[in-house]
Amino acid sequence: VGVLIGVSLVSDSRLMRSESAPKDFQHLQNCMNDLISIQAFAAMWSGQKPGQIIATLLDLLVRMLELDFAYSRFGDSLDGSRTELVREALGQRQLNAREVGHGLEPWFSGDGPNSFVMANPSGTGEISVAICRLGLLEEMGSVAAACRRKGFPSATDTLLLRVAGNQAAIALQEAQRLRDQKRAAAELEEHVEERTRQLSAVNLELRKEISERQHAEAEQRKFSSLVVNSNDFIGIASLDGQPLFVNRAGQQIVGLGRGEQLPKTILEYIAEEDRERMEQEVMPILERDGHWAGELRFRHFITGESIPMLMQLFFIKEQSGDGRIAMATISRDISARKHGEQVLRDSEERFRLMVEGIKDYAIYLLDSEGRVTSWNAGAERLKGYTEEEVLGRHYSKFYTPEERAKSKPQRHLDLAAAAGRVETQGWRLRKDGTRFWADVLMTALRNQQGKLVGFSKLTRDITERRKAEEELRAVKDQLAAELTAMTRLHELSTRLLASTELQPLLEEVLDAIMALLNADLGNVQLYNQKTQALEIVAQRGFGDEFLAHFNGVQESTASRGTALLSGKRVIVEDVRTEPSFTHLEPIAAAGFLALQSTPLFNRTGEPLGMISTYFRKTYRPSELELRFTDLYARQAAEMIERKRSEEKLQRSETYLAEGQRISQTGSWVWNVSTGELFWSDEQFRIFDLDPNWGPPSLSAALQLIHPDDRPGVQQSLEKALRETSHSEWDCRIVTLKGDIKIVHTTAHPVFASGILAEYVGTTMDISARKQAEDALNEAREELTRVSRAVTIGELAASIAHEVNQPLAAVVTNASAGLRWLAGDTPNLDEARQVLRRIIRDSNRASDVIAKIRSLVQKAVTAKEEFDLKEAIAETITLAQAEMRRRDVALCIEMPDDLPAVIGDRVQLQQVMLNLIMNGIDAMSEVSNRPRELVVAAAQDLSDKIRVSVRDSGTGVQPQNLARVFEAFYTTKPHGIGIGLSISRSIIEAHGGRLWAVQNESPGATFQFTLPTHASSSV
Amino acid sequence: MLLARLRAFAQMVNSPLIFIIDDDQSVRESVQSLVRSAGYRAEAFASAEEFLHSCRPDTADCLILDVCLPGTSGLDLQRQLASCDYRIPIIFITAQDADEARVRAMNDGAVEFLFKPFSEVALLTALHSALKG
Repeated sequence: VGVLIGVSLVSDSRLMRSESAPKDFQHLQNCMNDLISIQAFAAMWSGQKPGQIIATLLDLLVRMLELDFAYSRFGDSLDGSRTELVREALGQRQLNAREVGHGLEPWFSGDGPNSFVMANPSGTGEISVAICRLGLLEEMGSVAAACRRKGFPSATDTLLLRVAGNQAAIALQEAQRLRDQKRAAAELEEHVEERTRQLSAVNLELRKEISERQHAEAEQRKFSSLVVNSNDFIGIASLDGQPLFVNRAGQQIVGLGRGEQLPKTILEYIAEEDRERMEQEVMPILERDGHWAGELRFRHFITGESIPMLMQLFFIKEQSGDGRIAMATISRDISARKHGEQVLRDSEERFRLMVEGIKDYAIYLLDSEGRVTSWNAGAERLKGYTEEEVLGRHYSKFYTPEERAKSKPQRHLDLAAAAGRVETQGWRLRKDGTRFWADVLMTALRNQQGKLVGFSKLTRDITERRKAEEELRAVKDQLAAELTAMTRLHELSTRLLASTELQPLLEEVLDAIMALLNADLGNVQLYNQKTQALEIVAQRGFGDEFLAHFNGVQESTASRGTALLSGKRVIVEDVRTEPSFTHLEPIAAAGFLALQSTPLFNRTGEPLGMISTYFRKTYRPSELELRFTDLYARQAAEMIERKRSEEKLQRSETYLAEGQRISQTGSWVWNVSTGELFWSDEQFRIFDLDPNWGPPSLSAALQLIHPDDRPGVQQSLEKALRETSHSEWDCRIVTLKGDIKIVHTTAHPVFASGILAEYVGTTMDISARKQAEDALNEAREELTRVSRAVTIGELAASIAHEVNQPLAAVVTNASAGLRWLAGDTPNLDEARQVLRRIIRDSNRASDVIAKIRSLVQKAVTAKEEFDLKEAIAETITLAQAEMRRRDVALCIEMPDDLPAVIGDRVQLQQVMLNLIMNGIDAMSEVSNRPRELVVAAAQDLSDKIRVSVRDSGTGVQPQNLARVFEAFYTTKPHGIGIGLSISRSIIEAHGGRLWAVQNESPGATFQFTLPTHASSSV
Repeated sequence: MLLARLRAFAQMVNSPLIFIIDDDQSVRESVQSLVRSAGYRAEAFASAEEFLHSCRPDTADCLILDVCLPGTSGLDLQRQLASCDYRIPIIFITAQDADEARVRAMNDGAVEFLFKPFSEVALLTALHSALKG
């Protein structure tokens, strides 16, 4: 029981703190009150018979658990009989216990469930039944509690049922034990009487048949055997009290060994505390009546413990029946029984002590009229009355006069009597007249006949709890305020994530802090690194005058500056009493008396600025307010930091974008696993896409690549992916407008923990470069064409045309002149004009001839020593674009130590170019083998240098090998057949030789020799 | 004197109109002078385009046409006029060795194909036969 209540109290104090404390507490309190009522019953049950106990138990359960009925079957271990009882709620139909028991029979067996639903025996429908087994193994019987209430049995119901059942079981056990004890005593008495009778008979027999000695001896042996083997203490002493015989069991009971010498006097067997009683009380009675029976404590000879004994003392008389021979005793060790009784007493005592000891509760009993009949220590403590002062007095004296005037005390008694219990809360009076808020439970106590015998009252002072509840409410209000502040803070931080504008956010923080502190004015100042001064970036409630003044105050002297420099918050409760603020009078004149400045720091601890709030009254913010101010300030600092780093980032992003724009290089990132593409602005510009649409998918991006180039790009990409390698490619893209651009793309793999995560790359618009390259190539080809055109034959035609025109004009003009002068009337004006034109055109013709002469002269004089290798390399450069365009592979075979040659570098280059271009042309039809051109130069045995150009083209028919060098012989559709002719002339003019051979493999080789510097000088 | 001038004027007004197209200024001027000295009216143009834009081709009685012209060549102009059904007699002149061009021009109906420098007689004979035909 103690444990149970302990638990309840613990739960109680724990629940006090939780939000649902009132409801749960009420519930728990009800439960506890019921438990205490059960304890009260347990005390009442003491000494009652099982039937009475069960009857009150059932009544209690019906009332307490608001049952429809309660049923019990319980047995009597003595005669094995079984009793059944049923109790119904008030107003319920009376039930037959045997019938109810019959209905419940299936559920009582063995390990059946402890709760179930069965047909309602007192009406229609079903009823929930909870079963409680009395005793550990149901040996005491069972109780069934039936109720139609929904949710029955609840956990509380079950708990109460079980506790009540346990209490009843204990009571039943006690009752049983008591009965057993009584029976045992009766049996012992009977036994002793029987023995006495037997002894007497034996005595008589001895006396009768003394003569028959053998018979007598046999009887003696029987007696001895009986005595010796008995479990009781059997002893015989002389009339003067000297022990003569103690049986074996007796010796054992008092701790004496077998055969040990017996004490001198029987008094030594008696425990010291009972010896006086033995001498003064027991012996005289024995002397007087001849026998004595009663409890007396023996002494254990070894441990010195007292042994409670149920003792029979009598005299052994002579056979004749009169003369006393000896004293005898048959005593039974009743330690076990005594122990049981002690336990019972202890338990009762404990319960009493517990009730008395409960100091927090006033527990007292009233009689049916409402007069106090018992009073515990808690009641004394709570109400101030001692037991003597209050016993027998009417309990209405605990009520306030107002309540007494309204007859509340009587009404509560009536209510409790009618309903079984009443719970109230209200003001009660102490002895000293002070009031306390009491929580009261009054339970009606009825005897087994159902007659009202009184009330138990449980009163508790919950003034403190009421106070605590009020405080709790205050804490809740504070928490709600904190929650509002936190919510605002959260909103701010959420908005921080979304917003890019600092100013409105700072204003919002300022508003929040001002609302929090209930401030009248406020501002946010930021420290400007450049000017080293504080600048107000957000403010509330300040006029222009203050703002002007603020700009004049140096941060080293200003209060806010103090906050910033010291890194600590400054709080001025009253500027009038703060000496360092006298200079702030103009500001104070703005109408504030108190202020607080909270500094703002970035994460590395550098000052950013501060948030200050001002109050028109003297004011000091609470710790909580300051804590929240700090939170807001940190949020503001975070915003400023973020804003600044965003600006920085934006700046660097702008730089990057600008760089990309200038270099016409876009960048992109391709996430390999998600397939997501990121494009820079320039990338969008290159592809002529709107950045607002976001980057296209990879497949969409591929669609923008020129269809001819797409497979190549896809291959490059797949290869890069497969090998996770760097890759580069050029391709054409077709914008949505249809413009074609040439781009150079690089793709670089990026690994995350060893796994390919992304490709990062650039796209460069090289259209302009390509165009320039193409133009360059065209120029080169043009140059080559011009170079070729200037071969000698073509030169002649050109010269002819140039000279023919003025010559033709001169001739025609001359003819016209003659005609103008002929005839009857010569036209002199026309003739004069014609002659002027003749002079002009003649000069023009001579100019052409002079030009040609100078050309020829130059061609003839340009003999010099030059590096043939270098000259060949230059010529190849001229033809390279053409070779690339026409897919010709070039192979150069030249030793490093090729000697210098003497000649016309330009003419020899023209010959080289002529041979190379012929070779390229010869391979234009070739598609079934590589187009390969080998340009070789080497010194031969005769110290001449041989230069060869070998192609893999269509070759030359053997019969034509000589003809190709004839003028106007050509195999080309648009050729004039003069190139090789002029080339041979040039080579021969240099002292060399030019000829052609058919290759063993397809194609022909054209080669020429040139004398070296050494060979020509020889 | 006056009579001679009047006769010359009348001859001028009634005489055939010859158009000369050549990109070489010297040739253009000399041919124009020679044709005028023979009693024809003459107008000269530096290119086929200039000729087509400046007057109605059908007003010409004969064309003296250079083979090589910037833009539309003489041969192309010949075909162009034929396709428009302008049957104007054409005398080609050229400074180049151009047999192919000669064959083509003659096949397309040219009156004569003259290589520069050409003789006074050759041109005037061709002109005469062109105007007569």
